Amino acid sequence: MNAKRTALCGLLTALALVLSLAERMFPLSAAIPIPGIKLGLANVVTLFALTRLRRRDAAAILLVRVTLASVFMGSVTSFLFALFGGLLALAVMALLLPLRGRWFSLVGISIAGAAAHNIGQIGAAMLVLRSAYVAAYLPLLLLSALAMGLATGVVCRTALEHLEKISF
Amino acid sequence: MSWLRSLRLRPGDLAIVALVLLIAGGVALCFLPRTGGTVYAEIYQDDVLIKRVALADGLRETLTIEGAAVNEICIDGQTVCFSESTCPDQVCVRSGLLTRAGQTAVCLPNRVIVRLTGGEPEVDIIAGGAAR
Amino acid sequence: MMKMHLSSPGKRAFPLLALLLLCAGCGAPKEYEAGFFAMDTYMSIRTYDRNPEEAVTAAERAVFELEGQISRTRETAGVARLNAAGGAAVELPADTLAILRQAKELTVPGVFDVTICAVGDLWGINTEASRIPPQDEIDAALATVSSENLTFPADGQAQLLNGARLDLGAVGKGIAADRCVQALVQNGVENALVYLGGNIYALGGKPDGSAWSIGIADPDDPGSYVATLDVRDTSVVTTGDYERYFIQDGVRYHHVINPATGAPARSGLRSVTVVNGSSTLADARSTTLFVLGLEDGLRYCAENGLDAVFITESKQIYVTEGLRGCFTFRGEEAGYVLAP
Repeated sequence: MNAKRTALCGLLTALALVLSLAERMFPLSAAIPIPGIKLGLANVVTLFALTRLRRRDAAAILLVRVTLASVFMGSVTSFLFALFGGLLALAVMALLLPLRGRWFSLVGISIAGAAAHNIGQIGAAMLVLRSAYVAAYLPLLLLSALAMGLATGVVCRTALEHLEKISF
Repeated sequence: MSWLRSLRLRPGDLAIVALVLLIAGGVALCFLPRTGGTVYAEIYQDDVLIKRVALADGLRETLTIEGAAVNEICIDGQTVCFSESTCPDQVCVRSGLLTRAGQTAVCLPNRVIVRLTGGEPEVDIIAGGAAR
Repeated sequence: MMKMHLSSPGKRAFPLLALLLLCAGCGAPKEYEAGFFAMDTYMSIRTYDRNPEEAVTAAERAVFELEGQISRTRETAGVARLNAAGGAAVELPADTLAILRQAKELTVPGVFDVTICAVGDLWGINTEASRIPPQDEIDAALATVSSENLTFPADGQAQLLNGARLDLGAVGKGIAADRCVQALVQNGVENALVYLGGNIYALGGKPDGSAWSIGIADPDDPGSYVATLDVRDTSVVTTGDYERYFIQDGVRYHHVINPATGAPARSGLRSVTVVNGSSTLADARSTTLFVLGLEDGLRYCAENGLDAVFITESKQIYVTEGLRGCFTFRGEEAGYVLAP
């Protein structure tokens, strides 16, 4: 069991890194001129990890992914944005997941995580720029979080359903 | 709407969506530009206001701001833009023309923010004047 | 395989909702403003810090306590007792004596003097008895004016010689602002805008982290402003000829008396605004610079490391070097010109 968990952790970290890389191809900076702000594709990995692994595993994957991503291709600021956003998303989803089923579906939790991710990023941007005005981009980011959260939620659920079929 | 049903949403999900929309709307309201009056271009570096100009037709001005990078900011009539920058990401230049109050462009490497504000400039209090 | 956790839904959801609502609400921090009347003027303290009530009350108490010492009209006040003593030495509390010593030290001979009281009373600016006094009365009153006449003959005593009388009007609100801020800080308030009848102290900054934006009044229309100063942890004090005055035969007779002539200062200035960490100093020096006029005033600033904004009768605005970073000129529409 322990070996399987370790393997899954590694796999998910790799996947999260690839998603971070793929994310850079989205021209988000055309709409939101703050370099380093991300859509949060890698949140799908956090959500998946939270459902299949322990919370501390999900946190470890997140931290390794954020650190490696910034070592490979990022700057200090994008590291901060990813860290703030990622941790807030993780916290919100970890809090909501136990209520899944009766109160929330995976899609709803995913949307909450995406919104938290973007609030975290803007929070980090406000700290870095020492200005409250960057919060003006939050509404747009939150709307995008609805779409992103929906997508990642559906992807995550589909993956979980398939894994269930093969009794992974 | 069968795709919606296929999502198998729970009541809490709707609450989450409503809350997200509420926060988005609330923040948007805070930053809604005030209508009417002169539009001002404000240029900040390191959160210090370094220039404030009332935009007007026919106004033409170019200024250079040095820091970690060099920004050239062009004020032309009712519009402002980062016309050139030596920063690596060029996000500020790609932000294009700012034309309406409430718009902002940022050059993060240089810590420069260009912002259009509307109407009368606000102060917190007037020295030598009457109470607020 | 997939385990459902259905336990205690409400307990966990509430802190989360509260957190999110907090994020939504943080755009509008709560403003607390207390207004009160003291020292013949309106005062207000505005802050966005949490639980400021106690600190603001302490600040108000400090102002009233100060007024009880330096008032000219309250019979029990130290300054009133000293003025009424007819030249005899008067026992005064240590705090009052400290204020008097401070006021005396602020003297600039022939320019700024807190013993100007007798001359000021002759003009009676802002009273029903305002008039242009005859020159012999002015000369007689001027003979009493000298801070040398304020002496401290023994421990715990002050004495006014040669018929001099005190008026701390030119520093009183500055001292009050400094004590207000002291009381606020001691009681945990870090950010506040203190307004004492035109004397301003900008403590800390605004809730979004930015500096306080202080307008400098347009002398022709004090409700609007011709420039702004973005400042924190400093006092901004303006002295202007438009604050208290009467007009006779087209001449404006205002409340800033030049101790050299015994008449309202006519230095070509409409107002002077001093920016300084000490509101007492800013208050005294805004009057000093107004009497000195533009050229001597600018020289005084350079020699003493003082920062100020001068507005002249010809609608020119002069700013000292130290304020360039926080000063924004906004007077073009009202016809003002910023001097290079």
